[in-house]
Amino acid sequence: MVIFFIYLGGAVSLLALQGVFTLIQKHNITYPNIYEKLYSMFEPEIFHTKFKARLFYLADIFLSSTHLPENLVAAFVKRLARLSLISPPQDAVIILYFIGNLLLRHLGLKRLISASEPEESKLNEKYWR
Amino acid sequence: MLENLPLTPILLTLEVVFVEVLKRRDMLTSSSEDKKDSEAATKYRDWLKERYGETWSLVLKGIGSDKSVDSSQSLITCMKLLAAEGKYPLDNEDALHFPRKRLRSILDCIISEKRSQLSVIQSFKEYAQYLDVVQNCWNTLSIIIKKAASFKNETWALNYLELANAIPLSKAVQDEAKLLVPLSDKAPGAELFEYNNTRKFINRVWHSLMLWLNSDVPEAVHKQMLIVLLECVLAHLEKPVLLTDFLMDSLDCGKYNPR
Repeated sequence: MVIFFIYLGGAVSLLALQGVFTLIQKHNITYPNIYEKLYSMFEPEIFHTKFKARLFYLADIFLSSTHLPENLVAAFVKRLARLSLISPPQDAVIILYFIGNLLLRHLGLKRLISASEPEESKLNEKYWR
Repeated sequence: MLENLPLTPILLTLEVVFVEVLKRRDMLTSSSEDKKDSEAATKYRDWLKERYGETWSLVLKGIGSDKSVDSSQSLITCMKLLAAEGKYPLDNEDALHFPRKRLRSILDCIISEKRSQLSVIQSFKEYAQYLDVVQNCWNTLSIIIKKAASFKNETWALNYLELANAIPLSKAVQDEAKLLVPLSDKAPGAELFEYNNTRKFINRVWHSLMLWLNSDVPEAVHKQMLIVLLECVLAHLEKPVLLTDFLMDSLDCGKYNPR
């Protein structure tokens, strides 16, 4: 019963977030921790509600800007990747597509899947001489 | 025993009979009457009007039926009679007005306090493609909620919100401009679609809905209010900035904590 109310509460928050987004985008309202709020909605329980499609749609819009800090987007990518391990298979496919799109939009995030440290350390040594 | 009879054939028969009677103008009160046969004709006309009134009561009662097939068919019959009465009015040669009183009686039956009317509202969505139905529904909904004054009960509120969600004033509906009751050229200008008027009705409905928040509103109603806001109302609000408090409170409703 408690979990049911959590789901219900999450659905209300998600719908409200979409309304807040419209106000921010079209009517110059500000909401300071909007990305934190969106981040907090990515929980395992969300896959058992009928509003998950809306959450992914909203997240896609929120993270579509290439001006976002990379660490913010990287946090979302990491969380989504962890969720894909425990989500139902059909949702895991959607998450992977979403992660792929985020990596394509923010090229700096490539190091999350392909680290190239040895070459970078050589470059740094060149300037130390 | 009569209550166990299937309603659908009865509704369809009544629909066919009275649509034909309306088309033939048998119930039309003519201004110039020949006095010789006026008594018999008047008696016949009055008798027909009484039967017509009885038909409306029965069909409206059918909307509250327990069987979803019967309630949906009752709604369809009501709307067809409404359309026919709009095109062939009882008191005029020309179609001058949309039959708002009939629409009000239909919506009063749909927005029930006793049972959820989801199946009927699903059937009603078919009429949401008509611009005149959408405009007059928002007008009627603004009157209904004003007269209700406060939050009645959860079932009533959910039926009201589901109905509001079923009639969005989208760009597609405005562009297509399909009419259920095409009015004649002599119809007054106030009967024709005017976006600003419909916008006023939508804003009135939303302001009245906001008053519900003064009392404790169940979560399901709160969620449905947000859905109606996002799908139907937000694009037409005159002062959307006033939503800020409501949306911030709703955001805090969620039990998720940022980690």
